[in-house]
Amino acid sequence: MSNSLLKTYIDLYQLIKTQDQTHEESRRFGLAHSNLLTNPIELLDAWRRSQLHLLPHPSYSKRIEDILFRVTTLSFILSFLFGIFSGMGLLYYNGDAPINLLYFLTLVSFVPIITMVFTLLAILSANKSKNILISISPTYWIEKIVRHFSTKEIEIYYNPLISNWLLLKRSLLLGIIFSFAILIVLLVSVLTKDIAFSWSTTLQITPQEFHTLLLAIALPWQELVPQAVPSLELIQKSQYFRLGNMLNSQLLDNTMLLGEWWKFLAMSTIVYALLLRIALFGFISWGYKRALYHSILLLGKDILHQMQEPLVSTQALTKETPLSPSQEAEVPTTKSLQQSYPYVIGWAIDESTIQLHNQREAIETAIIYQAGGNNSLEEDQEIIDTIHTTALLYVKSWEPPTMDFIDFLMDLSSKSSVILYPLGTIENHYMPTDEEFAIWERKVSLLKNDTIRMKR
Amino acid sequence: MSQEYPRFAVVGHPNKGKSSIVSTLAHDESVHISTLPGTTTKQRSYPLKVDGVTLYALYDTPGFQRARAILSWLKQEETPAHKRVDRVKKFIYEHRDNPRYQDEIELLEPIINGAGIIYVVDGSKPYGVEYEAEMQILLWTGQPSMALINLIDTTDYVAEWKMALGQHFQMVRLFNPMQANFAQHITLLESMAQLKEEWTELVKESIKIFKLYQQQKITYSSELITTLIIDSLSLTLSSSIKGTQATKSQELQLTQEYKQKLRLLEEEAHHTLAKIWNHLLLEKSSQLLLLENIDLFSKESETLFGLSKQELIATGVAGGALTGSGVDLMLAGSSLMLGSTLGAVIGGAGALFGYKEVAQLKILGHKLGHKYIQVGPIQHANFPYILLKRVLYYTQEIANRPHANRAKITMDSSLIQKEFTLETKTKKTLDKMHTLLQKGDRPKEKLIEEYKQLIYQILIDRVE
Repeated sequence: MSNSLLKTYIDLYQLIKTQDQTHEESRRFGLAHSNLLTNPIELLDAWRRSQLHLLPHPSYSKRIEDILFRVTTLSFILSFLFGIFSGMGLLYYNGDAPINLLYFLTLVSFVPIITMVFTLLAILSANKSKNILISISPTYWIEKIVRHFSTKEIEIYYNPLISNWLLLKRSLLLGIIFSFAILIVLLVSVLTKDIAFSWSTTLQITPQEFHTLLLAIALPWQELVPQAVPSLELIQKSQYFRLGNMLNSQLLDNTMLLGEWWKFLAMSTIVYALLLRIALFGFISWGYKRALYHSILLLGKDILHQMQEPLVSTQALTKETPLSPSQEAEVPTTKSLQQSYPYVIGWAIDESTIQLHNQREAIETAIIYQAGGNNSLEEDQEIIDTIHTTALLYVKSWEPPTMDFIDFLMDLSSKSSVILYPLGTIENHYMPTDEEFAIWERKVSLLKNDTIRMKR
Repeated sequence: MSQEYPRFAVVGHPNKGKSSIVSTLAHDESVHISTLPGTTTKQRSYPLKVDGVTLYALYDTPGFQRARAILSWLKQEETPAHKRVDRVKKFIYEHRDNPRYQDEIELLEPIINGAGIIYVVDGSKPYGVEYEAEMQILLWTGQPSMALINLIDTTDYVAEWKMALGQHFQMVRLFNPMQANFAQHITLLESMAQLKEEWTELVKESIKIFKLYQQQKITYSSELITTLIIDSLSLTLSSSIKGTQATKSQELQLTQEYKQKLRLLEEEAHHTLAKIWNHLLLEKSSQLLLLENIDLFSKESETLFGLSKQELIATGVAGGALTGSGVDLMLAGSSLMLGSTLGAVIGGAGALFGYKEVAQLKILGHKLGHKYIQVGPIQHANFPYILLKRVLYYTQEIANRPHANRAKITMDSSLIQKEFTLETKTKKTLDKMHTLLQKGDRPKEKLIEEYKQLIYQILIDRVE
């Protein structure tokens, strides 16, 4: 499962870096897999599987898996061989002198306990990128050397969240293999040789004190395998003092008994070097799996958001084609007005306002008309029919010219010349703004009608 | 035509801000807005879709051009009130191919198909009788309607407009698409929900979705800002040294690259923020991230298998102590931990003195050691705040910017620094993460989450 999770992580990394997935596509996938929406890892894995065909061959995960397989196999072989040779060294017996069991005991019970304490300490800071305790491990150095000579792609999985746990897991596995090899050597040696064990130390340790220590070590299997618990008598009889090249007579009298130690040593190996390590391995595997889950979720966070959250869109579905600007022509303008006009027309402007502007511009007129606004089209036509000479036409500059006005203007200009006077608002002292004037000018210019002039 | 979801046609006189209103309500910057009248020639639909399901749709339409002529046609026959909508339909049917009435056909069609009316006027200009024909045509359609008074300018003719519009429309509301914030948008939607009973539920659902959508955007923004801070503050650039030490030009080049990279990170974050808030076309007039007076921490160093000298010494000490402890154990503690001490000293000293020699070793043509010059992370205490305030200011500006408002965003450095004053309590958490990043450490997920939450809170307070 952890291996497939690592593959999921690496594939996801490569897919996210190389594929442009739109929110719409992600959400569509999420809705199609709605049963997985509450299980983000499964959902991401399903998405990964659906996208695998897009990855180049071989994928990063395949390449990394190959490298990891080679590194792991090499480490395991080395560790096994190292265990075999260590065991053979420790159990080397040529019959001249008994084997001092303290060396073996140290390697199969004290060293595992110490390394496991270090492992536990390393677990506490496993999520940190710089973890000195992890860098003590031989697997760390093997990884370092492989990394030094490998391509950049495999950097992906060196996310400290993952790689530290993976290193811890593999270190422990190496320890298990090493210990297993030692156990094999012990059992094979017991089967094939008559080994005599003894214990020897320069320190003033009495057999009683040594017995207490060994009872403590043998506590886990005391009830289950009592024959693997050394008795005080065995301890007393197997204490070894070297005096020149001579063996003490007590040892020689009890040679048959000295072989009994193997049971205790085998149980020590099984319990401390193997079972404890296997238990810790289980815990680390769980931590590694958790770290992988966490890393996958972190990596797929954005895509998960897109799959789980409703896709909201407010924009138009079609592109707008803006109106292309028409060719504009020059509009004749006049800066001054005459003193009188026979007709003054206000487009949607009431009579009093027309009079006000006439007074303001000192214009005299005989006839004032209101056109547009609430007039009917027939009423406007009647106005046009009465006009025969120049007409002054007031318009509201802030209201852009509609086609309704243009129809009127065209009809009017066919009968007379027109002075078009865009008026501004009172706040602007009746002056049109440049923008307003430009809008009117542009519209009138499109008519290309010489009889229309604009008052600037 | 069946009506599964509410539709609203935004109609009115030309150049009164119909497209601006649609742009702001639809959060769509692609709506063409022009000061020239008559630029919208076709109706265009802007649906609010959630997972492909439309909750409501807005229609942008061309302005009325020949309202009096149409009204005159409608009135040619005596038509009782309940038949008036059929008369409007008849007009559309008979004039569909007549280019004179294309604008009116485009604007009336969605209404005849069941869309509610949103009639837009400019409240900053005086009321005019020329609007009355338009309002009467809309009355003939018999559809639910509201008027929106858009204050394009500073002058205020709202009172007279309200008097006139109140006679023709179910409700009259003020709405300025150039300044409207999210709350005003929601208030307007709430009014639209009241137009027709059958629409209320769906429009209220849309309001919920809009709120969720807004929250999503704020969440994405706070995540993005946090990532920008992490990436920028932990940024280091290194370059291998060929000789014994880095040359001035090498150092200068690396420093320039570093500054460029920092600015690029900021620019990319701004671009993504613009994408989150649908403001990709919005221009920005901004001073570059100023790094001239900020000391860019640089150092020369060497690694062996990626471990610095200090790390290797520590590893040597720990490894030596571990080996020595084995000896201590074998002597049952009688060595008084001398094995561990000696092991640590030997391991540490080996790493200290052997570091250079091992680093120079070549295996398969590869040197085991690697000498390099490194720039960053920036140690300047105020730099994180300069960067953070700039990105927060930018987010605040685009998040609060209605989509109709296309004016450039001005990023004035001094204004930004004044604008954002952060509380001491907030600064404490921010500082915690800044310090860690500047030291080159990766903060814990919990701290990153806390930081993100703070940014979210700052944005919630500032995005209206």
